[in-house]
Amino acid sequence: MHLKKALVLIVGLLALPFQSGLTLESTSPTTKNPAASALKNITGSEQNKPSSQQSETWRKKAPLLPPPRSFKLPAITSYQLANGLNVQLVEDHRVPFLTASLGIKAGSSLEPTNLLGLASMTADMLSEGTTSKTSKQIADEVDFIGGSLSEASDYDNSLVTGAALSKYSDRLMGILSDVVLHPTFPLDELQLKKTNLIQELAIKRSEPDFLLDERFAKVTFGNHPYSVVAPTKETVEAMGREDLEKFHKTHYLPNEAYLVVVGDFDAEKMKALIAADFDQWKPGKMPAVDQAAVPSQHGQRIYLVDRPGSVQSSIKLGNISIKKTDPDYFPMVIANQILGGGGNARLFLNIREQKGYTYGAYSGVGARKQPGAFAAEAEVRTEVTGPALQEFLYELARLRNTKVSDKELTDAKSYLAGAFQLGLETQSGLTQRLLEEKLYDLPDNYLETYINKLLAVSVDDVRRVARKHIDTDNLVISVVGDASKIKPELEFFAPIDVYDTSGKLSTDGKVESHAGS
Amino acid sequence: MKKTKLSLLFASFVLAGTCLISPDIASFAAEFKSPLIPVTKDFKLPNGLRVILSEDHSTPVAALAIVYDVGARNEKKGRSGFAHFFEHMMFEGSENVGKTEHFKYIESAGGSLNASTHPDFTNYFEKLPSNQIELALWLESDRMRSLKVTPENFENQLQTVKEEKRSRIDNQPYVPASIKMEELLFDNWANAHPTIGTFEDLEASTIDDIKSFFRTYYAPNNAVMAIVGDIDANEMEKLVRKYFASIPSQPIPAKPDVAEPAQTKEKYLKVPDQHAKAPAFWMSWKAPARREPDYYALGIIQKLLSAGESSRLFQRMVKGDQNALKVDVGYDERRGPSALESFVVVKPGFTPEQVRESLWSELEKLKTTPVSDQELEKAKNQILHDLFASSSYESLQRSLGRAELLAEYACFFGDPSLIDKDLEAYLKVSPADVQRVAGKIFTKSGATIVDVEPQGPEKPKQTAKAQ
Repeated sequence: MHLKKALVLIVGLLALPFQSGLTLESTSPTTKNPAASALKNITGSEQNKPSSQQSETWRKKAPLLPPPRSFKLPAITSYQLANGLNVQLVEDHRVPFLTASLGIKAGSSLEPTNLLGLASMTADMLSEGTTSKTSKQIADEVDFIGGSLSEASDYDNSLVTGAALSKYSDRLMGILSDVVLHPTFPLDELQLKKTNLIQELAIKRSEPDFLLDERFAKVTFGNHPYSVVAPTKETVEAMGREDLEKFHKTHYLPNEAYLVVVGDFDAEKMKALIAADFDQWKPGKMPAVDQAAVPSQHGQRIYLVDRPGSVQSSIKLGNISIKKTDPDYFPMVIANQILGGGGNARLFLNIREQKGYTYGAYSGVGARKQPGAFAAEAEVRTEVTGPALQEFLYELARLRNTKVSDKELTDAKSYLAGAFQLGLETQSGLTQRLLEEKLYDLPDNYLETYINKLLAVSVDDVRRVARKHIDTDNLVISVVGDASKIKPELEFFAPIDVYDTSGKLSTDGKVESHAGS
Repeated sequence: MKKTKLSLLFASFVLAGTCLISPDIASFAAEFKSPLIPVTKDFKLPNGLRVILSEDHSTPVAALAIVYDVGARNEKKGRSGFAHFFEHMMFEGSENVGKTEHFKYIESAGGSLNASTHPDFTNYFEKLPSNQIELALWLESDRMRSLKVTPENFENQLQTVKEEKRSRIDNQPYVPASIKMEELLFDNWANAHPTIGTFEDLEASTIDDIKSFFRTYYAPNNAVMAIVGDIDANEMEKLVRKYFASIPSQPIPAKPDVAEPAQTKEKYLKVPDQHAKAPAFWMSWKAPARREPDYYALGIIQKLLSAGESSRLFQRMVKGDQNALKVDVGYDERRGPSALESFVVVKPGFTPEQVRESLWSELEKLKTTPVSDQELEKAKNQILHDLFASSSYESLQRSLGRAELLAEYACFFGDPSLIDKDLEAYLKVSPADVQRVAGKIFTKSGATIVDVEPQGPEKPKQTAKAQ
């Protein structure tokens, strides 16, 4: 058993599968070293072809493979406690371990605008102290039971996930319920987290990725909660202990929560444990929050964040598209896969492989509880900012106007079906998928029909959803780069608003140099 | 879960002791399913390729892992870096698979793949939706039988490896020092030289060196392959024979001499580091090989010292004395002489010597005071966590983790069932074992110390301004 791997040199491939290909082309295979020259005398095929195997012509082509198998979900015990907590249990006795995850339908969308970051901070502080345990005691307990405990929060939901050796099932459920039901949000731990977060935010503001996401989200979503990509120094500083307590009290409600436990336990015993730990949790009514409507974009417009001295331009363009329950979800996911889902997709093949403008070009569909954004993006060399944008616009239009090929469709399906299957292999993978189904109000057969729904998508479906959900006439185009160099090029595409790195709109549209914050 | 039948292992050297059932094993079996990884088939092709199959139909996923019995320790002086270089060459195409197509095939299928080179072995692996697993057989067999060693590929990969060294070693804080530390710690060149190798050596190689390295070490009889997951073992055996049986075997290479003399005097080195922001040091000791008697207690000691925030060194140095920003202890476990390595980033205001005193005092405590039952149990539970949690790399939850363990154990020790024996041995470690092994390993005369001195941030700042 490897307790810890030593220095291992791994070909860094997953992220950059084709990078070597590019490097290879540009490297001159001439007389850089004696070995290469010596090797030149011999051709690759001659030296390697094993003489006994030359007749094996069947090896010429990759094997023909059967279609993906449909996924059969393991048996699930589902029930509800009197307080409304929804529970799903899946027994899997292959290893003596279990994973439990509690999802609550409360995320950053429910924060007051003067306390951005509150949902995340509340989740993050759960394990820093409870009415019966200090932060250190919680850490000790989690280490002792051979376990882990983590908290996270996004726009729509908060998640608390724990795991342990199955002989400590009771202690795992005990610590999980303790941090969710009885957190005390100790002041000193809160202060430390606030200080660290403010430092992280300052560092982030120097990164072009962050500025790009910030500008794109603000323009696309206006004052809607999905417009917020990070809290500010001010909202973090304003957060008091009582705000966390209030957010927790108001939103951590059993009737808005889902508990999934997967692993090596007996369902009846687990039910008893859950009853003992979670029955005391008091239900309540989640307050409705008035959310600002999203703005509508008229025409194409460029939102340029000036980052003087930038050697690259970051481009992100898109529009609001679909929510997770949209009937067009599966065709849209496939359309996106063909357009920009990875190293075999059109954006990558065009903008990176053919044009060499970038290290990678991708697209994504951020389907959430409410419609999220479709967006395509890349970091490109400053001098090819205009040509790269042109290729993005070309690829979006192409997907809307002409049919994708059968091969593209089949490849996208097998990739997505495969990735889905691989993701269900572990306890935590299955747990996350089961929770996703509940937290986003997806149909009960969502996981079992996932692959079939992918396979049912046709070439015509892809074009139909591309036309409907990729709005090339009314695109938000955000760019982060050196405005003095790229603005003159971008002006030929669309009207431009220029911002500085602190997010301030430069009113006359003039390029100023700004020291940043 | 479907029940799998246990077949008898074919390899001749694994029979001893398999029928004994001692009370210890019985209690072990009460807590854990034994075997931890059920083997459905274990066979050897006529060309010497050993194959282990393990069926598990819980999820429609299958994984394939091949371990080649070659690592940096097999390299000849003057030819260092070959093992790692070949890992790169293995993605450069073969008779029927084009350059970089290996990635494209696997990724289009929704799968994942990688490879890694170690001092004592090299592995290659793919994880796929189970309907696609034949693709991995086609790809792995094609490169085992007909790898393209062309001058172009050689030159290209030489550049890539140089770039890898620059980005993953030379440009990283503390990493060049860790390589110096291992070079200093081991006395035998086979153990001491870095896996990344020397470019002079690669550049000076001839066509014969390259061909013979591939022929010798990438032969079917120098490899073990494991396939785990949603497969039909009978069908899979047929496919394995179809793809691999015609690959010729080669004479078995000589085992490397990795003998390491005991250390009698402390070794010390100071290394300047342009990328490090804070001073740090490595303090390390020679350590027992995997499966040697003291290996298990030392594994427990590693957990006691630095696993999690409740660990001794974190509590003492980061929280208590507050003289360290980071403390980490790793066990570089090999099939031969190994190393226990501690790494500490020193907090501003303290000298490395002061911080080493805190560390030594914790090591002395291990020797003089028996560990409590509670703390020992925690460490054992952390070992179990590594084996069973979703998040850990070689987790038994993952088909790939299981395939790698099966292939490694069969390749290194001849017997995959030793995975169970190893877990048993960890769980048997007593407080007295911890004291005894700590006393044996953590001696002043056996220590190798490397101080890392940051070379100041002036240079990078100036470059940034110049832009």
